[in-house]
Amino acid sequence: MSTFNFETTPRVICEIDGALRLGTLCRELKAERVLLVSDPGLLRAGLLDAPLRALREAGVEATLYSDVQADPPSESVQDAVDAARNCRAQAVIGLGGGSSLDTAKLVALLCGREQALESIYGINLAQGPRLPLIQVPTTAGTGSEVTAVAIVTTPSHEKKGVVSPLLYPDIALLDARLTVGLPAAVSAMTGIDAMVHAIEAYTSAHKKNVLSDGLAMQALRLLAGNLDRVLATPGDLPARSDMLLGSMLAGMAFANSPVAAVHALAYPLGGHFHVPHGLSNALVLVPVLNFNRPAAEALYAQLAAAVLPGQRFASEALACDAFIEFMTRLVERMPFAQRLRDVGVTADDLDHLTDDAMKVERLLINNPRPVTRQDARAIYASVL
Amino acid sequence: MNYEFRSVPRIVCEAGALHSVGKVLKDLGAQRVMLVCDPGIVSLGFAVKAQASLEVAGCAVTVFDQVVPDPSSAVVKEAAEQARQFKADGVLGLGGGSSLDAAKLVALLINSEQPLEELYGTDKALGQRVPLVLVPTTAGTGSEVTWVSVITDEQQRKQAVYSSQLMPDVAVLDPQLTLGLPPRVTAATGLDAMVHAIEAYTSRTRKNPIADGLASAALGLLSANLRKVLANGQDVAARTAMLQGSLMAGMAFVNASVAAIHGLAYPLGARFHIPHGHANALVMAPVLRFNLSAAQSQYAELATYLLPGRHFEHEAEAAEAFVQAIEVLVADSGLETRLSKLGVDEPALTEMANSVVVNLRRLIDSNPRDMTEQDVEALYRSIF
Repeated sequence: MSTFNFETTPRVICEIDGALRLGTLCRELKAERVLLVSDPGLLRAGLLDAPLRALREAGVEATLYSDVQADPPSESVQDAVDAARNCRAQAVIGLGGGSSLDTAKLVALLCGREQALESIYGINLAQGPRLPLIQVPTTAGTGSEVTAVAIVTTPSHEKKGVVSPLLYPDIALLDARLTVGLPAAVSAMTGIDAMVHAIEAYTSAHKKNVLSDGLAMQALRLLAGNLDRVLATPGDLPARSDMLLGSMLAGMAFANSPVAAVHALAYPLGGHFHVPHGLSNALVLVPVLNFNRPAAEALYAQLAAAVLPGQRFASEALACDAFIEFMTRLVERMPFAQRLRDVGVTADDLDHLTDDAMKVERLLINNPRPVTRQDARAIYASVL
Repeated sequence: MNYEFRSVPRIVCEAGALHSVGKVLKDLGAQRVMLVCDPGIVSLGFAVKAQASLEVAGCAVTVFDQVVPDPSSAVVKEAAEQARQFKADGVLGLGGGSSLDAAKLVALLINSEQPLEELYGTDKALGQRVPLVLVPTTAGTGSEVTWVSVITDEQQRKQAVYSSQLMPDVAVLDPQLTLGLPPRVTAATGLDAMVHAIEAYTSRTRKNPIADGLASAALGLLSANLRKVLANGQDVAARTAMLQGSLMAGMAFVNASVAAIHGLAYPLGARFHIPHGHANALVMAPVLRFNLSAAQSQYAELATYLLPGRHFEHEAEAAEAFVQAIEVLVADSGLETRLSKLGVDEPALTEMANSVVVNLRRLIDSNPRDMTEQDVEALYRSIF
């Protein structure tokens, strides 16, 4: 598309042990008191000790909120906001997976300007200014550190999103050291999730643009080249670093060129069967690629150059084949469930899943090939 | 492996976007805007359009239209003084690199107590600039996405200000503004943008994967469209691609550095007033050939973007094809390629060579192959 609007995080720092610089960065943002938003797992793993120490050594008064839960409930966001108010935080640091980063976004927003969380669900309803915000992802991953969306779960178990450019942080800090302890299954799921972001951004039907294309292509190159490496050698820092970077670039791409049918079909699996987001995406990825092929052959052929660098293909069709084949084999060798039945789905659930997937119209409209109800059901059935 | 990447937070790309710059500034909170441009922009009627857009959005406007190429410190000070008197709280830069560079400094100086001279160098600026929107009318300098301003001081020396404060809030690309560019300007600025992409990709100091992704995508766009816009300046799609490529190359080089091509070009601009793009075009091909032995694998990688679809048996062949393609492109550009035809005298070659290795060391340091003073002089002589 030659007409586009592109928004992103103004500053990215990619540095091993960069989390030890958080104190200096807070000072640059003129904050002397900060709230660090994270989750109990990272606290137990001891990953918060060094960043907290670094903050305090820099003379920054750091208060820890480490009660973020997966798919953060709105009440827990409110708790975090209260914690920030109580310590009179002048800045917010999100350190963790997508849930911690999403919570941190909302804390920075709600503490920067008095407004009710319920009143800002939707697009561009939030008002600024927000508090200064630094995001430090510990999975590679969601890309949440460079997206303008935060998702919460309401008391009635609905997922609600806040979408606003105010949610882009001041700084995204990528520190590969924080990701070396990720279990193989988590590395695999989040890695495939990031690849799905890049693929769907590159083939998005309406908002695809030269910047999102360039970023998605580079993201896929990095992710495809390093996912096997981090699974084989979890402590491989350069590979971990490239995964974080690939995930972030994919985030920058899909923040501006939105995801499509893979995500639409994945959401109901998370909602009904509590399948982790990355795994849900991985389960439906290959059948969606095969389904999209008639409409996306040329684009998938271009992506073959990213996942199979240096290879030549005699035709676009063969390049497209090679791309889908590469993704199929990659997903197959990942250490996680491969079929819907492995995560508790039965044939009786397919209609219900299909109904819910068809409701995610905001994403389905981005798919390169229109998806009918029958199509969606057939995709689920093919991986039952 | 450790690096920082800064980006303009928002990019708008749309034919006719100049008509909506008023709203863009208004949304940033500006009420009283100074438009910074040059007399050419006024006579083309662009200034009036920008002014009308600002007034429709409810902003008061003052116009400073006295920017000159390689703007002097006196011009910048004069513009800043007028902006202060007008109580401007927003700046719109509209034009080529000179106008955009001047606009950046005006936005910074409005609320600053520091004299301009104190800003020369890296991170010297203490103040907070007012909202800043930049609209390039060449494709180009990439100045709309960089945090650098280059001006000429009272002793006729080039001075650069590097500050994160100079990064604008929004870069607006409107291909309509570039349709009327004369072929000479189109060629010089287009080759300049290609140099940005190439030197960023091969930078020895700050090359990084984000810049790589942007630079390679930029080079693909620029090389696929430069001949098109030279053949038909009214080709809106190709003009759009040139602006996009120039912007992406700007994002790449400001985060990765440029190198010896810029190093050799600067004295040609400072002493002989050869326009910056043309100066780069003059030294581009000889420097690439000089670098070939050290940069072979990177040039081979770039060959896949410059010459898509071409197959090479080995790296050396691809790298050679890359350099040859640039040589042909420069020769076909219609630009004068001999220094002696552009008013450069022979004794100046020795002096300029000395000035490059002494004053522009940081650019030589980023070059893939080291360069002695003799090397520089020999390169100048080869195009004398």
